[in-house]
Amino acid sequence: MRTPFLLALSGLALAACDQIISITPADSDTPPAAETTETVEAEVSEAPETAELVLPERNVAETKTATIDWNAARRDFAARDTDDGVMAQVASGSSIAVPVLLPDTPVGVASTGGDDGLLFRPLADGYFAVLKGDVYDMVINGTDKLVARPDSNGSAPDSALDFEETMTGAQVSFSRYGASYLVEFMCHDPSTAMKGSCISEEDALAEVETLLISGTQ
Amino acid sequence: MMKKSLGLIAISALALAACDAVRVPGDGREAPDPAPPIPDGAPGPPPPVIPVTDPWNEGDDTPTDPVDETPADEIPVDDPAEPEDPIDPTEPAEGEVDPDPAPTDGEPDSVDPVDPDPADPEPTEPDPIDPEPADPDPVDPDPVEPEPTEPEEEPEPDPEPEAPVTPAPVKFEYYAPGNLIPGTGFGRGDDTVYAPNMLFPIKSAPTFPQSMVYRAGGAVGGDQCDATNYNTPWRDNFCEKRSSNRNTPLCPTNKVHQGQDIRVGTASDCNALRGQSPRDRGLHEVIAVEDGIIQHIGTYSVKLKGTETGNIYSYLHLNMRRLRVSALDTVEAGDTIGFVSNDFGGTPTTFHLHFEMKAPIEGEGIVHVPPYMSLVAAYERREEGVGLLVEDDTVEVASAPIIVDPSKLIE
Repeated sequence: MRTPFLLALSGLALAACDQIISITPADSDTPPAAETTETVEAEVSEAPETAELVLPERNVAETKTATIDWNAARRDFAARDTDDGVMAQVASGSSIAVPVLLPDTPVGVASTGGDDGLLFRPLADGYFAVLKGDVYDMVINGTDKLVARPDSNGSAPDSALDFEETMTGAQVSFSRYGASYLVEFMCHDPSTAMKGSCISEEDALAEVETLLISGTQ
Repeated sequence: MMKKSLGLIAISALALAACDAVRVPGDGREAPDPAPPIPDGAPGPPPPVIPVTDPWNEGDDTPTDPVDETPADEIPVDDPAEPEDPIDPTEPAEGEVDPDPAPTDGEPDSVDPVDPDPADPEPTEPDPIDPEPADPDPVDPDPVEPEPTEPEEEPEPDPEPEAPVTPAPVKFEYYAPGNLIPGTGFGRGDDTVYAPNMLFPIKSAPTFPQSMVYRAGGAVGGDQCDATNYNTPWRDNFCEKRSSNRNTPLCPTNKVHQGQDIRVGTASDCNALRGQSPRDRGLHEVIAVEDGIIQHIGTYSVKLKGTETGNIYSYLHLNMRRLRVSALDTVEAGDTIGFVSNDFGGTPTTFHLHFEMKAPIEGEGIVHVPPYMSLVAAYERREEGVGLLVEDDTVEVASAPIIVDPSKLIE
């Protein structure tokens, strides 16, 4: 009677032995590479996500904040010849980073488009204004930012008015009080913009020369 | 009966003993530890030069072993995955450009195929190593000594991938700044990035900055949708010769192009645009390159004042009837402005974006600056890859200026 029991016992023992052996291959020379491979693949796929992408270093322009000659601006402001108090009041309403140069025209605050007249908006580095017209719109920018040249002291000396035709009309750029200014004439008629400009150099320079200093600190 | 019983007991006891004997060496019940799975001669893993005292990790349960060893196993995996290390096919660049221009057009990855192509046929050294890390096996059998030496040398590059630095893949090719098409003027060799953080003005499509006037579809004849226009390295065209009296202090000569023309998409996109009505025309989104304000919208132009740099950007030839912005809108970098088209007032131009940058340059005022390298850097960020600087193979004709009929000049 004990024989069957012993046979069953020994059979179970051997069966258990087989299961164990199946986990660890008898051939000890071949380690469980499968799981290792999986681990490797997982790490490889994750690596690119965590790795830092290195892009080439480029020669980046060095931008500085220009030194503004506020004394000169105040002198010019005091000496200006206009009785348009509204323009001066709006343009001086906040501490604008550069002296404000505007046409001698009543000013509105440029918060929405579509308005006629001179639209003005202060910016962190200066301001811009848009004056709409029949033949062209005039866009005026003033900034205290400055892309410095090597050995620069961070100040932009006053420069003459530089007129250039553009693909949209013409522009006049210059520096004054240490700030940089740009007046663009955006032609409405494309045919004039494509073939010269809707405004002559003489007229453009005259427009810029009539700009008035409308605000200082 | 008793004898039989005793016999069976003895047999079962022997079986169990044998079972134990088998279990001992590999008894990693906790987990099938990946003992150094270093196949003999494997290239990556550090060679088991030092006798392994505990090959089955019986004594040391340190879980770090398998981790530390995995990188070694990865070696063969990393190597092939980084055909980019040598990517810098900068070496074969010159030769590659000509034969495989096609890939560049395609999409960003286009250049990738360029690398392997030339490498496969000729070089024998890198190929066998890159493609199959398993190659070492056949190599090992020959020499016994090389086994330890080769794996030791190759593992060295592994430390690189371990560092959090990954060499960026090549995504496009470009000629040097100021290197205009020979005979089309004198460029400004200015590698300055005037807008260091700006986004590329095209949201996602492949782009090919190049001349519009002096390529197919321009004043030199041909079709603007010619595949060659969409299969070429980038080319600077700031300061390119023009008949109009447009100047900028940063160009060496007068009557110049004041921006950079950018062809967008593919030749088939170009033809698709032609099939669209002018009102609906547009496949490729144009975006704000930085936070700012839309200062002005003209007949065929949109002007953006950047609030970070103070730069002024002009976008020309969008479909002005599908603009997504209005004058004086405040926009964030990446906001859609409109779609690439060919609006130029009454007479359409080629499908492209004319992109200008103006910056306050000391001593010059706010003037046009070359956008080329700012675009290169922005595209590299967009594509998370690098541009490959290629040599100009047309220098020999530089002395022969291209003569075109000014009346046929388009921008």
